[in-house]
Amino acid sequence: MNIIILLVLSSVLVAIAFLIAFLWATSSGQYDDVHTPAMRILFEDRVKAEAESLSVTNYPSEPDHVN
Amino acid sequence: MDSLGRMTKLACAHCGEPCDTGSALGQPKTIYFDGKPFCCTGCRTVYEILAQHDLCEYYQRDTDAGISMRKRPLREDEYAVLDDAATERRLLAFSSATLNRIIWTVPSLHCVSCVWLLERLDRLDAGVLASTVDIMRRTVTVDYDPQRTTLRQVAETMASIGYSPLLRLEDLTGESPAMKRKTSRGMYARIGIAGFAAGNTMMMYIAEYFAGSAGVERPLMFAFRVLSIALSVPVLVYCASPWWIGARAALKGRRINLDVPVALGIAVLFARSVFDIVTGHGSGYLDSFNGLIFFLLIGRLFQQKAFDALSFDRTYRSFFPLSVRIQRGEVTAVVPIEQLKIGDILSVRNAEVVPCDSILASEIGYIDYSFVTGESVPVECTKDEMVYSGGKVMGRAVRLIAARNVSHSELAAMWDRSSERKNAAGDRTTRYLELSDKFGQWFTAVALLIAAAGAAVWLPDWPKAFSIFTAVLIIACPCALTLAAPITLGSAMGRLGRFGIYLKNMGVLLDLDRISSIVFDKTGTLTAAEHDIAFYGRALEDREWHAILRIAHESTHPVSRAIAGEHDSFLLEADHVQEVIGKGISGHAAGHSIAIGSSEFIAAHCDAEISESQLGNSVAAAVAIDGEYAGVFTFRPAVREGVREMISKLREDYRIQLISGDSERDRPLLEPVFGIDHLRFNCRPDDKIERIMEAREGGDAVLMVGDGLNDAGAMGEADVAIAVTDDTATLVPACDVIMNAASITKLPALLRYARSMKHMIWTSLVFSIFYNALGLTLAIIGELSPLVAAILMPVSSLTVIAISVGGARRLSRRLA
Repeated sequence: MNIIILLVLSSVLVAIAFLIAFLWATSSGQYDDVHTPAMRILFEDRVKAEAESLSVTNYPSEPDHVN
Repeated sequence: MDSLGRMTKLACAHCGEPCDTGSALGQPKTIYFDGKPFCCTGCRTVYEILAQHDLCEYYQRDTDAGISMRKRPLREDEYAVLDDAATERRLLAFSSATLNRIIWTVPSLHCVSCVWLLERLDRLDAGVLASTVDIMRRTVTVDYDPQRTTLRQVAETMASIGYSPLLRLEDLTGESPAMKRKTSRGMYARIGIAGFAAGNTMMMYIAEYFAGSAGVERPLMFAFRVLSIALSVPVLVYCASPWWIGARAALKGRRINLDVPVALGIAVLFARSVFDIVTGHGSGYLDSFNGLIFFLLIGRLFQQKAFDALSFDRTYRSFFPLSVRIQRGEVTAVVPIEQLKIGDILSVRNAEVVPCDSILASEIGYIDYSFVTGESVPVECTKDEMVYSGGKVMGRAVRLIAARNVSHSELAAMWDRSSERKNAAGDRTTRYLELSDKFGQWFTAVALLIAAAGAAVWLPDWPKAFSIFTAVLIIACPCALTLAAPITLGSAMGRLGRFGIYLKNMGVLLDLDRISSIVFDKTGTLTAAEHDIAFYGRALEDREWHAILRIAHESTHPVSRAIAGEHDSFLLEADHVQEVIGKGISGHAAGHSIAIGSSEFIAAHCDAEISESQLGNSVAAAVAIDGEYAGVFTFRPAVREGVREMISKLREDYRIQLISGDSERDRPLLEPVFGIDHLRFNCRPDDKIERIMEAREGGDAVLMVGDGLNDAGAMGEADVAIAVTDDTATLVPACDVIMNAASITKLPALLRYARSMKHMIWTSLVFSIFYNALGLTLAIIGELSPLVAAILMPVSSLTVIAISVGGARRLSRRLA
């Protein structure tokens, strides 16, 4: 029977790992806006490639923590 | 009527609006560029900018792409105040030597195309590093390099393509979008943790439910129970904190709201479970506990989403610009409004709002007070006359001498009065909360009574009495009841938003259901906000038309402006132009000598006697061509499409009235719609308030439909106020509902919807009361086993959620 206790504990630990992943996603802002990304995904990058070859400098997209 | 009735139904290639609207003259207004038609130069300019930067994909993203530039002409120093370092610092969300971040609110954001274009701002302004759109909150977060561009440039770039960022005083003081984000993140975290705990405790409990407590070995059972407690503690402490806080605040204020019985229920549930487990009495109800909080949090999420959708509560300060142009000596400087001092000379241009009560220093000025009084025809002011804040300057720019400080002005006083009135009458927006508070008190009392009575029956047997007492409190927790109203109304609010109807809070829907009388304000509500101009007279030739428009264009008088429209690309030459301020204008163009002005002015230019009386008082200006009387221009306000049908439909069920600040001018227009007895003109704001008070004293619940601040007092007095606006960006105080002008005909459907939502809530209440009664019976006879609770509680919550969300969605289809 002890093996079941072990099993339960390990499954809870795995679940906790997922919970932590969820909390991390929340605090990093993944759920701040759930509508715009759905639109953004439809945009093609056709022109972007062109623009990148034209522009002189490329900036990193967004700094990690500024707020 | 006119010789140039070209009614081409061309759609503007930028904004999609028909190219020939805006004036009933049918003047040739369509502009061609790049082989495409445009309704105005503003739209053409935007197209030009986009074409230059290879951004025309914008038009393919969404059929709704393109914001009409006609209503919102750009002013060159609208954003000049952003050059002020102090203002800039207060607006920025983050700032460093190489990166500044600003979160703009952009009211005109609405579709996929908007997102596409605004996230490509870096192509229009090389200094922009990144821009991110949040379409629900209508914000754009822009990161830019302060060495390569400025805040003002960013704002102007956005404005140049039709997305003017909102720049108001409240941005400097109010809650930042970043703060709102934090609270919603906390909500998701809570739901995540509660859901996690609910799922896992349920697994542990299921073993016992199936095998029976004898079927599980003792050490295993012990491990399960300890784990369940461990999982539930964070739920109790963190996830349930909104109810702890709510209940504590209520008890501190010596009142009881709906949070109290909920808090009591979950506290007892947890305590009883831990007690059972520790004493070895049983397994407790921890699975029900976690599930309950999970569902309760979902209800909260609905509530919060509804709050987030649109923030209404803006003060009169929102109406004022952030900055004013001040003349000091020879230089004109743009300064933040709080630096304005009495005695300063301001220069206020066309379509700008007078920021404080001032004295006119120019010879003449036209002020549109429709904001304050409801009268839509501009008032003519002469030198040294007092000009009041909230008025909008029309036509010619004026110079003003500030006579009072911003916060001491009339408009501020008016606002304060209306909000005072509201508080005195008991802020109606909280009536829904009050109702639920009352319900909470009643509920707590009854639950405690039943629990005590149930316990008393078993009294000599103390353990049994304790167990009954707690079981009743557990099952009596008004979980489903707290879910019913917020979820129904919250999802209803969300659905209504899609039809251009925005509610201030959820309680409004319940208030709408009680309405028995509807009062309309005219201007901008039933008629279009801008006057159409029509010409009555002899048939004119094209050349004569062009000449009239060309001359009218020279004048800054509002009537001339309306005649000329926005058409400003005439190639015609005009000479000998002479304007007699306040009288009329004359000049030569296209080989004709034209005079436009008052009847006396025209009489001086030709021999004809003009009898104004036969045309009524709707005459705006008379016209003479080559010394001969040609005809008159009249205001021709048009009733919005569908309004007639709407009113006749509403008259079947409600008492309808129209109260207008305007003169009797439009009586003939509106009489057939409303009937003779229900029209009142020339009403001052105070008269409007009185009318509504009268109706309320007569026992009616009054719905006021108006267009904004000029009705603030009346709207505050009514039971429910609906503001109708062409553009949800303009600020609307003292109202409970904002409707797009285009949706005004949906009013009957909205009222019907409100009624059906009330029925929905009742239905779910009946269901939850049924479940509660079932649970109570079981609790009293001592049969509320953990298994029964584990089934009964989630089932009742799920039923309520299903009924509420499903009903709100299904019924909203009738609105379309």
